[in-house]
Amino acid sequence: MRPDINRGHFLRGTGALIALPALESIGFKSNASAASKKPSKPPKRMVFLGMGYGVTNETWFPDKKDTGFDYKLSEGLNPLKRHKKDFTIVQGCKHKYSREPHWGSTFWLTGANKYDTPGQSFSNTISVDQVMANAVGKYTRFTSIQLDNLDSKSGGHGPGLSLAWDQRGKPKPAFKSPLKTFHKLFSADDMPLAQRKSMIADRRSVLDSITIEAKRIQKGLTKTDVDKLNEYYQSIRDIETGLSKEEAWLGIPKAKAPLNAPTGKVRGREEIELMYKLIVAALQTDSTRVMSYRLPVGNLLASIGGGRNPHNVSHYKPGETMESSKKKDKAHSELLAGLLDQLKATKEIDGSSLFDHVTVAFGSNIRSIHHMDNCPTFISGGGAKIKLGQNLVLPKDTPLNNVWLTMLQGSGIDVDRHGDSTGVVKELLV
Amino acid sequence: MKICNAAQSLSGLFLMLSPLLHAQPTEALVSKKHMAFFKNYCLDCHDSDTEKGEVNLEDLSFKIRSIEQAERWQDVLDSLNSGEMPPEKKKQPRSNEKADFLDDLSQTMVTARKILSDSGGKITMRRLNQREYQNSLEDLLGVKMDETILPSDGGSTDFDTVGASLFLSSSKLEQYLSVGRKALDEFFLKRAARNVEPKVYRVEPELTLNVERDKKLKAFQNFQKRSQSLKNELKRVAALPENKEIIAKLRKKDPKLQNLWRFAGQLKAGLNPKKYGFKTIKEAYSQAVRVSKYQMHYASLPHNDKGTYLMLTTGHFLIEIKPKQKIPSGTYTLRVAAGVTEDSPTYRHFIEVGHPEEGLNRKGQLDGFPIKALQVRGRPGHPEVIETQLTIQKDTRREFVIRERQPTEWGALRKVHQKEVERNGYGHEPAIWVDWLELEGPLPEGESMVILDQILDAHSEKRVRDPYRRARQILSDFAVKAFRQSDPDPAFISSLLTIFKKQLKVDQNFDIAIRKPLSIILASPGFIFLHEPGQEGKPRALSDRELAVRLSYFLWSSAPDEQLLNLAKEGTLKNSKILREQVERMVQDPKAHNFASGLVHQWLDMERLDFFQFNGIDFREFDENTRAAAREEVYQSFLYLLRSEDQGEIHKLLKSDYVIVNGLMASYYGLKGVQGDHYRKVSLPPKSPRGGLLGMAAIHVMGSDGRKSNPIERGAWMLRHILNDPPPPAPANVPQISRLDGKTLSKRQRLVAHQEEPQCASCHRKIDPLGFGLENFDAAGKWRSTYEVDRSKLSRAARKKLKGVKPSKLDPSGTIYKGPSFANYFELRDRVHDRKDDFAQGFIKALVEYSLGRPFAFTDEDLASQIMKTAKRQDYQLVDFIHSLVQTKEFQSK
Repeated sequence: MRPDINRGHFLRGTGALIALPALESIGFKSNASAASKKPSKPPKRMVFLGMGYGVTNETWFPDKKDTGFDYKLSEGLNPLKRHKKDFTIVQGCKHKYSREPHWGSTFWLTGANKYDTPGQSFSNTISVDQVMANAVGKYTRFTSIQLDNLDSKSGGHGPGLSLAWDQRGKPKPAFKSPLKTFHKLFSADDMPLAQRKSMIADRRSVLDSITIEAKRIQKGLTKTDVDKLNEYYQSIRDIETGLSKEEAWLGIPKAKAPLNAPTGKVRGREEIELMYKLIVAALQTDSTRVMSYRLPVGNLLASIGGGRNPHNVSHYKPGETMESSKKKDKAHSELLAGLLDQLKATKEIDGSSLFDHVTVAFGSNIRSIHHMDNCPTFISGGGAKIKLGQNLVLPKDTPLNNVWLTMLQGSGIDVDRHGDSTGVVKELLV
Repeated sequence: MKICNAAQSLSGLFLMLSPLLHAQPTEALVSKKHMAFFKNYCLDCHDSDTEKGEVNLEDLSFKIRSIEQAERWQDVLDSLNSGEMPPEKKKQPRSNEKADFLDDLSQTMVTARKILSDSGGKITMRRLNQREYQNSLEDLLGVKMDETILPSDGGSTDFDTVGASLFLSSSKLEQYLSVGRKALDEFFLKRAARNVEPKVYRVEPELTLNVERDKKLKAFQNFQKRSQSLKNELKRVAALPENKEIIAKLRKKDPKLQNLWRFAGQLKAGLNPKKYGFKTIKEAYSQAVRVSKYQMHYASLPHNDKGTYLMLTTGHFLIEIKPKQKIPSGTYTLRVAAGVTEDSPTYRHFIEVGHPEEGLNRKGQLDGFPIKALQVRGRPGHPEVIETQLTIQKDTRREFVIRERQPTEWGALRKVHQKEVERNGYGHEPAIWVDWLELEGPLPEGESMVILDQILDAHSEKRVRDPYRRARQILSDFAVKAFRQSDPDPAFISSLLTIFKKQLKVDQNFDIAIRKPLSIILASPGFIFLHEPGQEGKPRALSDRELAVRLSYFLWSSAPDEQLLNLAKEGTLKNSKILREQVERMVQDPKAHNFASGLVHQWLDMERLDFFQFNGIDFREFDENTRAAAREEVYQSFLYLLRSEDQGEIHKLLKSDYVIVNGLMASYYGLKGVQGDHYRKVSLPPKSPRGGLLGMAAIHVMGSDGRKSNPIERGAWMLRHILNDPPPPAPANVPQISRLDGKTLSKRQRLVAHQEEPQCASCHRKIDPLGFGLENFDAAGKWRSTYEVDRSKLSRAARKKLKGVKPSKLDPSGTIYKGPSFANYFELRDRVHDRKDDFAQGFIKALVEYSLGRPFAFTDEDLASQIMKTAKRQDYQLVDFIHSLVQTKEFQSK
């Protein structure tokens, strides 16, 4: 190999910074519960659950006039009754640039303007979960974990591979099956350490090779094409970062699974239930601190006897389709209540519960039918010091990004804006 | 003659194309005629003095030139659509006035967005999309990798050839590395099987299934006989005088002595069940051995000595073929000798081939969808042999089954069976008789066309002793081929060799060690990017090699072959006549199917075809086989025109007196005498609704929800893909019509209501009439003249739902918005056919996006009108659209 074009030079040359996990830093070892030393203080986590098409307008939202802490729970949220003090419904928010009434997830966590880049018909920006991941991802084996379902095309989620979009506004991939997620999280690598080290070295030399070729291609390309090729370089860099991370974690075994590997094919309601268990397991073992999940829509409906056509149900009219839509809301609330039960029941090292250190946001960019204002927003958990237990009605068309910003700041992330946010939501602060 | 002229005039055009010919740049203008509307209903509050809600519209330009202006107009549009503005207390516009304004403004917004996102004719370097990567791998390795494991395109609504929308990420790059390796493993398995002697595995069902069945049947008959004798004996014993007393006692409780056998032990001179082969008397009364009337009937049919009848629900509905030892990878021929009964309906003349489902509780389902459907010819006792080819790869299960085609979901046919039993006493009528089936392979590949085979043969161990030298030669040659005839950096090959050396130490086997460096070539940018150097804003002509690559990815979705590369090397490919010949050759090549499927699927937005599963009772014939065949019909109809010498007018896709179908689709359309699974031209009887896209099942299925037809979906689809008048995207926040809440309305009443509210009317007045014109086609594209359905065929639940419901009248008549009226579907089809120019325009837009890899924009209008002009001169022959495009400067420039 020619010494003048090794990867290290190249990476330094293009100014890439590989965030190597700082093994000696307090952040790392004391927070990695996967490591032998248990953390002294539980870390903050964030979970986003996107449902694609929205809710049943008439029955999901609590009365807008009945605000505050002593409000009457709506029919759609009733299964969450036992947790009423522990979640807040935020009303009145929207993303002002979101105008695609069948895209419930694409811009939900970003609030980007699809048309923002001249000369392109689509653009997006970083999603709130990835802002968090950029800050805390270095402390865990997985920087963030995205989950998705198997029929995400027809569920009103819109373009994307998950809820997450990276720093450059590109879609982040997800695990689609519970079983795969389980194996990624917990299945041990039984290869001897020396061999794994040598494999990492092998993979590095592969990256070296393809970098040589990328530089050949680069000669004479237009600026736009160089930008495209940069995706290739970026991918190499990301793999490199991953390898470094893997290397740093080589000596530390994966967390012991707090649940059994899923068996059989589950679809819809059971699939969500299982994924929720895996979310709790991943957070509990501090395998990651940032998770997002694009919930199944078609399969959920099919599994609860709600018909087979998510689009029709989302455009419900009084009668059969509206009943299906209500059934879907009810199922979601029941599942959410189950998730909160588990979060509360899971104990942290200091005796507090996992619930106290996580923030869960559930919702969509679509309210219901074709409406994209008053996005359904459900927030729970003590991780971001959000004031829970209220039906909070904000001024009409408050940027949804204000809510996301509040969550970020409350979780200790040092940012002063997210997307088109105009400030934190004071009413949500304890 | 015609062809030569066209070529000359084309090259002339190419030179003449000057800035003078350019049309006026398109502008996003809100028509001045709406000034009054604006003044009357908006500016009262939103002028610079009042600025109600801090919104000032007075300085808003009617020409949209920036994203910022577009956003402000979008706000105006949104607040009108949501009904928020003008506020209730204020003066309201008339319904028509508002609908017209909304219509114009939303169209203007579409224009503005298009202008603002216009790439200015730029062709961004693109990563091979999923199809192209799959095909390119196949060219190199002769292995087709399953698309589910390939890096996905996802994340955009543009065509899959648009470079700017094809992203790469670390996970995709890792996928490239692992898929390349998997493909190489497959390749070496196949290569190892090159010298394997093909074998034949044969199944004679009369020696397996029938024997099993007859054994059961015999056991049953024997049981019946013994049981009857025992019963007779019991009767005789009971009638004996010594039992008179006890019988009288029993009669008090059981007057008819139905349970006599239970008390047989109390009888004197009792009977011994062992004499009749039973352990106990009870056993003779049990139903331990049961054979249904269904099975008995099938056992009694003729020709059972030579073959077997396939059953549908219970009994022998699968015939399995499972070679005992693991058979090598390769291509196999499956042959089935079978026949169909004379009076069975034609849709029952098909067998499906698949893998049997796995698991303990098998219900006779297939594992996933059928691999193939085959049409059975011949008669019971006089079979005909049908055959098909199956590919077996490393992970392919080595067991296959055939069965009569069935709905995908399990259980639907059981309900049908019940009805049949009521009718004929035994169940499903016999339809297919199978004499034997056999699997033969792996088939000899002959002179291998696979590139890596050729390279390995050229640098065999015999020729090159030194493994490192040999590896270097193989890697260099393979890289050049993978990079479509461009040379890799020598340092790259050296680095691969280093990896090979290390690997050889570990693996101790050349054929294994070489796979890793080969797989790196398959993930390197020279392979996965279609890269062309260039300068921003200064288009340059492509080199001959680059042109060959662009052309082959356009028409084959794969790499150029020897011939194209040779012409490029000679520097003659750009010659207009030679280029023309190549296009002619390429569209005739089987690989042009990649073009047809890739382009047509996206042009006509066929994704919806796969959205819904149809239930097997209401839509017995629309199973996965039909879905696949219906899709193929669309592609084949396109290919037919593309390959036609002079009958390839594009508007035959709007109306034609023939269809391009196989046996299965012909049966679906009720066309007789079409045998076999290949697609061919079949003339239609007069008055047939088929012929053209609007008569195709696939199109109607896309415009349904799996149960009912959806006129809105269909109407909007026609505007988008047939009439080139796409409605603006569905607006957010339009209120639903609350007046109708809770009312049961006919479909048509509901849609008439659409036109009440101006926000809805602005689009629906265009969409609805078209969609309703197609109501004669049900959800699965079958013709109907009324909404009345044959209720006897429905499931009980469905029947219950329909109880007391009177079907509304099916009325397909209507008026195209600002256009002619039509009385029925046939007239609608004629009116649509009148607009063939619009249809061709829409096609050109798709063609440009597909071939140049950028969304069609205003920059491309000149190009489009050039293509249109030439194609029109050639009487709209489909291939001339291609010729014309390929000869343009745009196609030949970076």
